Amino acid sequence: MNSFLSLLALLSILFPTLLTATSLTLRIPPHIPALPPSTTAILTTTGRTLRAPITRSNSFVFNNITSADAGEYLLDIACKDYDFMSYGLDVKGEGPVVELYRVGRGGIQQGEKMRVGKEGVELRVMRAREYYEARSGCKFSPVIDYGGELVDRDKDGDGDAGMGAEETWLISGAAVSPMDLLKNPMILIAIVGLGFVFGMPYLLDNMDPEMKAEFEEQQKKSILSGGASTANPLQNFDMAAWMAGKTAGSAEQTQDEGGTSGSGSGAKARRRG
Amino acid sequence: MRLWVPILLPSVAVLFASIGHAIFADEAYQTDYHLPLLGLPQAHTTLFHRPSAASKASLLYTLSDRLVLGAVNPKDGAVIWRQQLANQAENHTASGLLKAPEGGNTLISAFNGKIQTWDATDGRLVWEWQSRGRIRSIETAASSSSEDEKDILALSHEGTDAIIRRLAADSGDLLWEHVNASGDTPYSLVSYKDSVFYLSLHSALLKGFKIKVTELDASTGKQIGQPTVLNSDGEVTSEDSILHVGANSGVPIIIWTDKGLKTLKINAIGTKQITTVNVPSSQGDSAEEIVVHASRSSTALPHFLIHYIAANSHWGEVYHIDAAKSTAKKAFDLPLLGGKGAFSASSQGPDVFFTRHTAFENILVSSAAPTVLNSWNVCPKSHGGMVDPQDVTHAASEVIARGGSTYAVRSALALPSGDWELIRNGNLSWVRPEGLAGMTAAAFVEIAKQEDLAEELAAEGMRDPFAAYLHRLTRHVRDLQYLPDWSGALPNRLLGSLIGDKASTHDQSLRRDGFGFHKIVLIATERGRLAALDAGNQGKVIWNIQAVSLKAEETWDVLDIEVEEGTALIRAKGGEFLRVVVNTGTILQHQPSAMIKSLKTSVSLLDSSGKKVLIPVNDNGYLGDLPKADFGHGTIVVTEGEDSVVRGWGLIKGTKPKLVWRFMPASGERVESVNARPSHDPVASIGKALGDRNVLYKYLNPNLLLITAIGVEISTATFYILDATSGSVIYSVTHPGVDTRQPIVSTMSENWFAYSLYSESTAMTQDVTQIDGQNLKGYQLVVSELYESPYPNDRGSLGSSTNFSTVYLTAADEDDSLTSPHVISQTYLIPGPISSMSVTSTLQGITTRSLLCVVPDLNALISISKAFLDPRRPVGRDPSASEMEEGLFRYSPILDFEPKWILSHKRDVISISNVITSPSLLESTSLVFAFGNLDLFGSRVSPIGAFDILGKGFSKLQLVLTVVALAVGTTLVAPFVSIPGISEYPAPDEFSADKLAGAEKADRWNMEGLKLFRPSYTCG
Repeated sequence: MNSFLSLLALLSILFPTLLTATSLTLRIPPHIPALPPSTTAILTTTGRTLRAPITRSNSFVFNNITSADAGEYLLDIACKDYDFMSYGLDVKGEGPVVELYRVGRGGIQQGEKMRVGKEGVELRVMRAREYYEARSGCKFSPVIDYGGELVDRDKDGDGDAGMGAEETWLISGAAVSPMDLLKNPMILIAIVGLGFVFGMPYLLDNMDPEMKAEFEEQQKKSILSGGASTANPLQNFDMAAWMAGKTAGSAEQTQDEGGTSGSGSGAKARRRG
Repeated sequence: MRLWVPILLPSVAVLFASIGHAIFADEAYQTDYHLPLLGLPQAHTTLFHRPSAASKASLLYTLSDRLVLGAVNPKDGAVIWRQQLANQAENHTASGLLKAPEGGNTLISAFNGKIQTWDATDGRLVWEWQSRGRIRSIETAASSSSEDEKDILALSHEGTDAIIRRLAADSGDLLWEHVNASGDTPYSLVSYKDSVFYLSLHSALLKGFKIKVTELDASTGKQIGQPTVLNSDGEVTSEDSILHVGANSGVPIIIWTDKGLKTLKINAIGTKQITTVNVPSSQGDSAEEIVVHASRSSTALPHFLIHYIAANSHWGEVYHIDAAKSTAKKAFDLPLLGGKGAFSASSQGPDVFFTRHTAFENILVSSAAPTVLNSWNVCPKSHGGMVDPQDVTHAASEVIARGGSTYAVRSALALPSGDWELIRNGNLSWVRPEGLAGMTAAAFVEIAKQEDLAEELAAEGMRDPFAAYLHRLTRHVRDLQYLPDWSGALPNRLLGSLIGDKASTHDQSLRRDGFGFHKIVLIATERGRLAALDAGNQGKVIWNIQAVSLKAEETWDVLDIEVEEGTALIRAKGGEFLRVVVNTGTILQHQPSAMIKSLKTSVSLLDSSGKKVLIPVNDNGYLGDLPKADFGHGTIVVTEGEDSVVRGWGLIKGTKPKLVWRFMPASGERVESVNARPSHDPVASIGKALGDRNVLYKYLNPNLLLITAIGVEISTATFYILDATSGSVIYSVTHPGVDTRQPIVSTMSENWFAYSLYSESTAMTQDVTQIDGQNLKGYQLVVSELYESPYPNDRGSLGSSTNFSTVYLTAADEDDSLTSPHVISQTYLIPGPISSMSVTSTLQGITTRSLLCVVPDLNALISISKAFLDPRRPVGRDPSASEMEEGLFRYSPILDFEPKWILSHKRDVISISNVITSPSLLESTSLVFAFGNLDLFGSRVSPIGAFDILGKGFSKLQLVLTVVALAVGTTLVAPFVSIPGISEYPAPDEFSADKLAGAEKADRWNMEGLKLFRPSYTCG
């Protein structure tokens, strides 16, 4: 450490201009696409604001930070597309030494102070910014493609087409098609209901006579047309017997004893209904 | 002010984002409009350029007078990217430099001491380099490291030294620097082959300057030989005498002239040979200005054009340079034409083309021969679209030869009106109203009512029945002419309204709409222009006029715009006023600034008889002599003087106003701003209904003033609430440790006020704002509400009185309790500065207000609902049931600018400084217009959602289909239901008459229980 310091002192004597200024590089994580050109890193302290616009290599560079810039700064990234973590930045001493740390709002330190070297430091992204409220039934997708490829629309080759695709808003109209209605569950239920109402009599008419007779027989037996007891079978459920460990068969028996006139299959059908 | 400790708690605000206003994806870009401006393009920094070597098509780049560098799509005039080279605070007097190296993919700009290179395609920074002195000139030189890119040569003036540096193309690293300590005034750099020529102005013995040319080796920066001194002292009296310097057309030349514009001297840089040319006077007109046009390309032929501009005509001469002999020779003349035209030079390969633009035609000539290659008539209407043919200030063009004799030319013309338009082969492609940049005032104006029908109906009522009948018949016959159009548009309209295609029914005409969204925005700019925008039609410019003529460097300081029926009164500094018709822009009356120098403005007041009286206000804050008028009970006029004193003047009778009170801030502070409640500030309820059905009475004083005073040396900001009639301070709060360089803005409405500032805790405030031994710093937003008393259902000493006076205090008020309301404040830590603050305004004031803040860092306009900023939010605990009912939730000191609150959503709205609002006819919605140094932006804001209008999500088609389906279903099912005998079922027992009566009673009882039901508004 001592030798380092002495080397530092020696260097500062030899190259005073080299050591009094440093540059600070803040990098954006590689998975983040190119940020819009309005993105700026802002260092704020009382009486002083430093700004660095986003560079082509998706980073921010503060050049010429000297010991005259010493102070405790707040580092904010003003960006249209993403929210960044809040940082504090200390510039102090000769060199000067730059330290970066996480802060809460109000500039209260939260993380460890970390010295920033020549290679810079990577900033953390919190979330993508979502500007719009979604509304059901509308399919809109305003897209701003910043770092997008330039589309050469100069088809006729006269050079006067200009460039496109920099800000393309793909706004499709609120296309309400009648077919969308069919996706509505209420409408589907209504259609199925209508189908039953109108389809049933037709089905009955077209049944062969034997089957029809059987069906009518069953209908007669059924509680719906028979005028028999409409009591819920569960009401007759012998809870005590069931808890006493009687077999299912005897339970069935009990139920039958409970006054239903239908056969076993009828009871089953009832339970299904 | 309370600032609570649990700052480190995660922001809960996110959970409550739905409280505020949000923009629906389908409404963005539909309800709002934005004019992204650049400022006036400058002649030497406007050019067509290919953004990269691989690109076929070029973009139009400009560096404007407002130091905005931007790329515009020549196809439609849309801004592709913009960068501001200077902060708003920096002065704009110095102009910027721009270079676009051929074949490269970067642009190089320089302003003051900063050199920046930008990616030409997307406008992002490549690198920047800061010099200690002002950059005088930038040049490019072929780089040794990379083939496409070019190194940058920069000349900066640092102290008495001129320093020439070479910066690497890709990184901006310093390759070499050459210090010239001769003490000459550095002028320019010219790069030619392997040399760099440094041109400086050397003071001659008697008067004038000699041009000194120093040659440097481009690769090492070493001086080669002795400097060449040109005997130019007879002509060059200042830098303005030099007309052109450059190696653009292959051979480096310098051209200068004398003060009287009599001779031109041309020198090939590096030689001592000077060609002298007498300035021709064509047809008796003598030149008043001389401009040299040469191609930017270094591979083009060394031809240049000298453009002579006379008072009302212009002509040109084309010169060829003989590279071997280093002399210039005139090749041919371009004949004199009337008006002030513009030339532009462009090249394709070695060919150089000159395009001449006049008010009526575009003429294309080759530099080689005087034959006209092509000419197009320019439709006069294309010049600005709405005025007579204008002169052309300057132009940039691009010529493409398509083999044979066909040429495609497109030119970007800057017009004196400030419009910037692109003409393609004589046809107008687009117009950008760049002259609107620098807006100083704006106002919403109602579109004049269509009175015709009402008048005719009144006329019919006055006549005898037969005449009235005839009148009506003729009116109906006359109306028949609109029937075919109307019925033709009917199917479209019906279909559009069913399918919800609002675009097809968009009303293009200037008529009021049912919702009150359609209004005119009147704007005044510092260049003396006045324009009207159609707020209901994407901010389309209705008219745009030069209202006052100004000298160069002069600005028009409009103080306010007052709207009367159909006309607007624009008041400027010095008592100047102008009356225009809103619909057409016709100037009815113009009174230039008064003879009295000190007159600042005049305010109009209504006297007791309802007549309008103008009260003159002087610069020093005193009132001038009053006209004879009777003000009845008296009126108070509040003035803010330049001496940082706020004065209240009483006007009752007579011509002398009486000074009623004076307000001076604490020592060391000066008054920054004085705010009153907005003129349209209706209060829907005098109290605030609490969750437990009690009422907290608001302190509603129409005469409140909010005075912001800042102490620059002592780093304080103090906010005073004043009663304007008595001048007494009702409430004040001082913030220490404030950075007074950061914006400090405030606003007031109803019974609350808000302000924002940047502060860092100091030794003085450590007890309050220190956490874990750390100083608290950051931007704060403080909201305070004023109530009559801290207790519910209590009006303090006011009791049940209906009137009160702040001037004549009763004995009971002597303890001062009357004049001091109960103030509840809360502070929020916000992520960035707010540079302007205002409040939404709705028709009745029922809708919760929203704070409209300009966030300059994000280039955004944000709307923060007042519900969020309620200072009564419970601190340090969860809300009780009654507080929840009131809509209060737990206080968190952190307030994020939620992206969903941003009215300008993804738009980049730069340099806006003022926001005005106007109510629409819908209670939920307020119209917003933001303007400032550059952009203008307008939108609609519904602070608690658009509860009184159907949104786009509502499908009429679905509704109609459902109703139809139900009707069909009912009809079909009806036969099944009407089974004979079904109605003969006896009524069940429980619905007997006496039981029904009992149920009714119970219902009534329930209703009584609900009597205390309090209307509450929820967001939709």
